[in-house]
Amino acid sequence: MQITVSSFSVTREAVEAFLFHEARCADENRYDEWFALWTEDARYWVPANIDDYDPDEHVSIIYDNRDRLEDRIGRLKSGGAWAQEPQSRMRRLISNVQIEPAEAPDECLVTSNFVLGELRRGRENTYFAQQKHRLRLTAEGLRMAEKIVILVRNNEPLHNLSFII
Amino acid sequence: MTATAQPTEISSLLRLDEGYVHSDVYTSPVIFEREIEQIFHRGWVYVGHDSEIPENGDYVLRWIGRQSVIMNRDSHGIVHLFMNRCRHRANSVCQFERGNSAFFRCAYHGWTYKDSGELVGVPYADAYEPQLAKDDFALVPAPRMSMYRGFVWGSLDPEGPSLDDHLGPSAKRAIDLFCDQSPMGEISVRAGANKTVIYANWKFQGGDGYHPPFTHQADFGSIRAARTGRTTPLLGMIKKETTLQRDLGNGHYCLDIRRMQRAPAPETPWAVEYRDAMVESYGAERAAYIMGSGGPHAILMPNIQLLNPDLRVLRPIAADEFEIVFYTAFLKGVPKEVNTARLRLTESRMGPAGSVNVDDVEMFERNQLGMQQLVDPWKYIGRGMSREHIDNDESTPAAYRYENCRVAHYADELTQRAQLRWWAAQLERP
Repeated sequence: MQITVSSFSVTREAVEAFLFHEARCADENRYDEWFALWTEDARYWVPANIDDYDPDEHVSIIYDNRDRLEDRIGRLKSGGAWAQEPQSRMRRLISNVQIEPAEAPDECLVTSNFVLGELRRGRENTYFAQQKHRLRLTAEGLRMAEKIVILVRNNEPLHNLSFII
Repeated sequence: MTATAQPTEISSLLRLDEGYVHSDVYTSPVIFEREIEQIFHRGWVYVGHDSEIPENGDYVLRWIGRQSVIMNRDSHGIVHLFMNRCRHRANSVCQFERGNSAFFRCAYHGWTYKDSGELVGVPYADAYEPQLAKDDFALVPAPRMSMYRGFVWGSLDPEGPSLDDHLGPSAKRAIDLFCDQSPMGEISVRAGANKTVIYANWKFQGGDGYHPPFTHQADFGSIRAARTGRTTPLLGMIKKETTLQRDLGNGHYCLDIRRMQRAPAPETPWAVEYRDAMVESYGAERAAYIMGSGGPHAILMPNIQLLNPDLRVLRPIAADEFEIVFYTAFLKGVPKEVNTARLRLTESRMGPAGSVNVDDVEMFERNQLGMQQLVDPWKYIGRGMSREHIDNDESTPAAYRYENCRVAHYADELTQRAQLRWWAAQLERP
């Protein structure tokens, strides 16, 4: 199916292929490949307690710009990030993909659901979430300008989210 | 009833004069039950901050040990701490983590209480002969509640030491320093929280100056320093004579990094505005001290930690499980950017996806695994025993001075021993 978003057209197939590729990079702890999927003006947000608010007034689980994202990836690759030694084994299933136009003519908004199974040191955690991607069409293809992950359990005690959520 | 440890068994688990503690202190469910009884269901337990319930009718739902309690502000502005239990057939009367309500109505049979606790509504009350004495059926308050600078504690024991006795002078000085980072001397705890669960014993509460260069090798600060070619602050820390550990009395302790000589704040307009407001409130010398201190870095038994920018609250679940909630404490009377920077600090370092706390959690859980070893179950916490001494903190402004406290080198294990001495005294109380 062809979806026309303002001045550029993107197929549902291309959007879903992007989401699946991003998920696979995250699942397989391919940090550099995952980081390469972001734009320079990246915003990566995982709200805490409630699903939507002003992140300058209320704390978040993650609120990264490009610099903080780079620190996050650098840390995971440093060899001393003990909470990922050994690494988590993960698989996530993505579903309910909906695509809408964004304000910027070269972007689209993609809402989807995922369920993530994460296994580490004999303990398996399940995370249900909605994710909202603002994808931009660049010369290199689709890239993430924004990703918001709304965890169903964002107001419950969480164990380490030291992997890519 | 669950079996609990007897007082006589406690002393056999500590050989603190030699620097040893038995692993059972952290792994035994029997010991844990005794802790719940003696520490969490008897002593003073922090429940919340009065800034969380600023308006009349505001409430929050909290825990004292395993007891659900409601902290609320009634229609006259009075703060209460109620046991979350209907006086009829014991349903919980409050289901939401926070809210505003002038009444608590039990959904089971409709008994209704005012926000000040009085029972005001009993459906079909004619069944009670001669008449239901409503005054005898008010919501039950926690036996004791006490506050210091807006911090609210409860105790389920109507008798016993006062909150004043429990805190002692030094813990109060730590709270003072935490609050005085605001030019109004007030914090606001309404900016959300990161909630975490740790599969380890609740007595792992940090205050360990030995671990950062190793456990936190991958802290963002180190990563960023490596990326920008600067040396890491963590590795330098344990060599400095200006960083200490202090036993603040009654099990409370701190990593004393108040004189660590931080990099000066940036000269942004908001940083300048903040500094000017602080000088206006406290005078130049004291303001410089407060802003340079980085806060108290204090851990107050049994369940709060004042580590900039967070007020951390702990809840024990089992011998091998506890929760920590990180509330980013906002400073009142400062430019918005100061508090936003505090949010970014909590997120990037603490909580379940930060760069620091996740590796603490990992170490605590590895420790819990190691302590299940039955062969040689003793842990060694004897570091720096010979250099503990009493200190009067004379170089610190009087308002924040920790007088007559035992101190040791920053990377010693005085804090671990101080916590366990207090712990043993609580469990051995008849």
